[in-house]
Amino acid sequence: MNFILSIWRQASPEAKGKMVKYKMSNVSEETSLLEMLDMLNEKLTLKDEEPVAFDSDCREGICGSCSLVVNGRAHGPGKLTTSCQVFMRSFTDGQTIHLEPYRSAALPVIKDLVVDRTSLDRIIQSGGYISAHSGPKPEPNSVPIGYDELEESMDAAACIGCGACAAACPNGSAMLFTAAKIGHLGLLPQGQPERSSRAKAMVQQMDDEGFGACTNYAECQDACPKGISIKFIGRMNKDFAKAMLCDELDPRGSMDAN
Amino acid sequence: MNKLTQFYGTAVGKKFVVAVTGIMMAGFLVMHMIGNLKAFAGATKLDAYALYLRDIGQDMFGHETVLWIARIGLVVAVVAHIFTIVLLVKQNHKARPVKYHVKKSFVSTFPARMMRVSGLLLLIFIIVHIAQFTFGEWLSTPFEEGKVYSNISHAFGSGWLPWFYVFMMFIVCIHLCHGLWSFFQTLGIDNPDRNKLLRGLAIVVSLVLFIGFSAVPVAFATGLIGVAK
Amino acid sequence: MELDSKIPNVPIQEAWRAHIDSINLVGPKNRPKYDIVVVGSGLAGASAAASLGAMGYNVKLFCFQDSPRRAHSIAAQGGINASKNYRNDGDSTWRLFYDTQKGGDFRGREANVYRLAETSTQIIDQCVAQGVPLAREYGGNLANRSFGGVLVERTFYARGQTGQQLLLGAYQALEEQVALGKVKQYPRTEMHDIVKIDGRCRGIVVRDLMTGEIQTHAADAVVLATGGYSNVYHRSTNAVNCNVTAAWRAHKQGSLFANPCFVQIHPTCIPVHGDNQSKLTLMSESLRNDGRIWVPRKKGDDRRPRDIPEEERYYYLEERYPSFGNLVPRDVASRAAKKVCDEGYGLGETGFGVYLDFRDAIAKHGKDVIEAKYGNLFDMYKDITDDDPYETPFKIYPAPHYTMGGLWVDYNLMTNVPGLYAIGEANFSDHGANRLGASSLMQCLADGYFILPQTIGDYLRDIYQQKIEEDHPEFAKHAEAVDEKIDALMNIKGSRTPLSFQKELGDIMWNYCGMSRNAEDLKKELELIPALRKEFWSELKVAGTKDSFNQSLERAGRVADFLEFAELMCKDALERDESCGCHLREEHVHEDGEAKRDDEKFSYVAAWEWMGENVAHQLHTEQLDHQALKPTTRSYK
Repeated sequence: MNFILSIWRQASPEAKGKMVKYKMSNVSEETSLLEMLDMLNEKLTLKDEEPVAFDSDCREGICGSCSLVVNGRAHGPGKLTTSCQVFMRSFTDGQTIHLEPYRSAALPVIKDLVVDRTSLDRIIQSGGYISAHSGPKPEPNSVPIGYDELEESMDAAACIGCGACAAACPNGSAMLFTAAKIGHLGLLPQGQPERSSRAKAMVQQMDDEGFGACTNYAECQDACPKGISIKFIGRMNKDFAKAMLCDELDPRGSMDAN
Repeated sequence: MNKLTQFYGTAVGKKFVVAVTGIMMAGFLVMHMIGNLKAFAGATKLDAYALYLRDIGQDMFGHETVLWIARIGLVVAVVAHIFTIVLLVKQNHKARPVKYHVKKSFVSTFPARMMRVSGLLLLIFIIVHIAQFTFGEWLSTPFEEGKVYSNISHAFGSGWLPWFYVFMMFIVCIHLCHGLWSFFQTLGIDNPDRNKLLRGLAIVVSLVLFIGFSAVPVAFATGLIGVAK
Repeated sequence: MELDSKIPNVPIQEAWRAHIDSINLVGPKNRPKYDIVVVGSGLAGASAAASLGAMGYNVKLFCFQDSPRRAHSIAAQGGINASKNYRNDGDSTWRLFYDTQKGGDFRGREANVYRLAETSTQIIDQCVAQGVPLAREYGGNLANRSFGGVLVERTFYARGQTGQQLLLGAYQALEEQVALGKVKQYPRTEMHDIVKIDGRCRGIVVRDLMTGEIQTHAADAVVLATGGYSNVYHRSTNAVNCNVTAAWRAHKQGSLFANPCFVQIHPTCIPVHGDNQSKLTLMSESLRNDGRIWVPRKKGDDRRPRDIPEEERYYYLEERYPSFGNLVPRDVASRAAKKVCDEGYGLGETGFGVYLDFRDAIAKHGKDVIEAKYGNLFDMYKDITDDDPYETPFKIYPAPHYTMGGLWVDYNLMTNVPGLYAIGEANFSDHGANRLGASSLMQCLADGYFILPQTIGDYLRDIYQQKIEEDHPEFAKHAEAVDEKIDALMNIKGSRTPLSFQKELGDIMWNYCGMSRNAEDLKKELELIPALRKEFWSELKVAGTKDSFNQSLERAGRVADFLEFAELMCKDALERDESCGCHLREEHVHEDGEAKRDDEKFSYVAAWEWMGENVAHQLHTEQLDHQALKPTTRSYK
């Protein structure tokens, strides 16, 4: 198969970028999109041109490193997939394939197709954990967790932190990412003590990082390689509102006697 | 107060305000539509209803007090709705400083993508509408305070105005298709069990509003109900 | 050199407790005075950094990925072992110890393995407390599945994403410590060297992958949790960026490399399809619970698998190993697949593939049950191959997966270089010559959560008040050497890319030091590798510049190390003139083709010492003590 690639090239975070066209020929259809980029980079290196920088690691759809926007779609054609699991058979021969980095103020471009996703780490740092320092812990079966409850939590926990939700969202919002973590931990009995503080801190951090707001387009859900549902966004909103409006500000305070 | 400003300071808090003010306005629209339909019962009934609105709670609070409370509440909702959306739109613009070369949407619905456009059109419409029927003489139609039936029959009796109204009601319908469901989603009331129901409900209510609101101008324009003598 | 494993001289059941009771500890008030560097953010690195941070130490965590959460532990699908005996099927610490030792073909260190088995149950407790959503039964209790090489059900799992969920648990604990200021994380930063001062490891040299800046970080102890070296084969189940660099550069500073030839070839991977393929995708071993492995009895049978009748199918594992059947250990399953393919029964054009068939399981349990258990694996296979495994069997073939060899460590997990620790896959200690499924997650977390945090104090107490800062001249010296090496790579300006060398090396390794080895091949390979290395240093072409984000340079550095390491691996394979676990020497097999150990001569850990460039490695041996379990011939028949 033959393709024309139109790829975003940007030398550094400060540099101005542009789309550059490359021709690829004789690509077999079972080649993956990233393997084709490998091939392109081999060619570019031998021609003394700068290879295209892009993130990838496990190449089996689980690490969340790969982060391309292919023909306007985060992670490319197909559902429940990552950029590394896109194979050339899903394109037509002779097609022009546009490759762009994620676009979000909170995910700035480092080089070419590589973006900085430390903002997602900082959202987790703000409260996406259960404090449980290592050491002997109680027997897990002493707190039974219903099958459905656990599985729903697992649905949210499946998030690979790739950031496709923010890339696909017309508002550049990372609500689905944040909601998935709040949902995962908030659905488990172990996550209850920190449930309110977690929701408050993570929602606040998401705004501070410069992500956009939610307009209920559901583009994030469609782009999510793990199919995480926007129902978790509703859940997060509810948890957040409850934490902000219903929880007492000073639950341990005292009251005047007269 | 501190709690509220903190809440409003976040994107999620703002979304709540948009959702709650939105549903207030939608509730008003339903009442408004039911009132409008009294036009089919004739001039006397409609004018009496208009008077009744001014008299609600009169014995306890005095003339037009309740009406003014409702009016102020509504204005506050409209202003809060619009103001908050302006803030959110600004935030969203800032969140994507560089646009995609290939811009596509995959699952978002047409009404969802149209929210900002439809909202802006509605704002213009509301100004026109209030200028015309509350403050009176505009678009050179004869206007007389309290004579509701006569006023609207003059306005809708002929020309392009009734069809402008019908078009605008269609915009209302589009706005609400997404807006009503969004209310449930934003507040976390929607869930997979009732998603179809709530999505459907939003569309049905929007359509009912469209038909109900359009019925009066269409009826006058087509002569189905008569022009007041 | 005397290799002191520091294992207390008591029965293995009491060793760990006795050891902890006898070593030095650092008190909570003094811990903030110590700086610890952790390199690698997988299960071992993240759990160690989080635990050490929570204890009060100042921790710096380095990883080359853009976030610690992306380390390759994330890809482990099947599960994690723990001898909870929830199934009441006779499991115990002893049984897990026994299975692991036997699975490792008696080349593991008994005391380490027993400690691992002891710790296993605590890991599950810890992870559940952290919110790892391990699968539950309808009654709300934890669920188990079975894995290869054992007769009990002791594997805990979170769908097909166990590694991911466990890593996220550790990552979240780590991020909490980052938020508390106890851990500072350095993503997109690659370690290039360790710094030794007065014989002790006192810090590292790193390269910031975004700017190319060379930095030095002083520390009181350095922990390497940098994973395995399967990518020496180029195509493996490892992530494409996994490498041996950190371990190898520590080795060149004096740290011994143990058993490098022990590489596990995983039996259930998607076969190679073409030359440009960048990696091999593993399908979880758990598929062997319900899937049946077979090839057509007629060579070159090109009928669709569904059309081949039962009597013409050769269920070679079930026929040869009736008691374990499709659940034999990985090395046995891999070699059996290689054997039938070498005999000409392999599938398709390449002849390298066997069927893994769910037809009978779907007929027996129904599609729904199979989908609930393996749905995501079936989908993943379909995405990659465009074949639907509900309709047609999986095609699988073995691929390099896990490396049992690694840096030599003592019972404290410290290498022979004082102050340098190695944990997780980066060390050698627990899996002998073959690792059982669902045991690597267990080992990484045992090391990171429970063992290292307790043993590291023994060394730290020892170096109290000998603070060394980055301004010590050794740091500048090492940084300069790293910079020179990078310049050397950049300045070759030849005509071949780093990837082309990695591919060529991978092919050599797979052909001559792969699933089965012989002296003749290994000797030939020991000529090929230095030749390739020579070509590398004269013909390499690295794109870009050294002071920018440069993935070509990153790969070049890693390939340079693989080219040196590969030679040691072959040397070790040649020296170990016996078959054991996954190391099969064709000269040493039983009549039925099974591995034939030589306990008289080779019941030891081969620990290799770097003697300098172009000088032969020196072998040191640590005799294995089989006080608890006498080695027997491994049989899964």
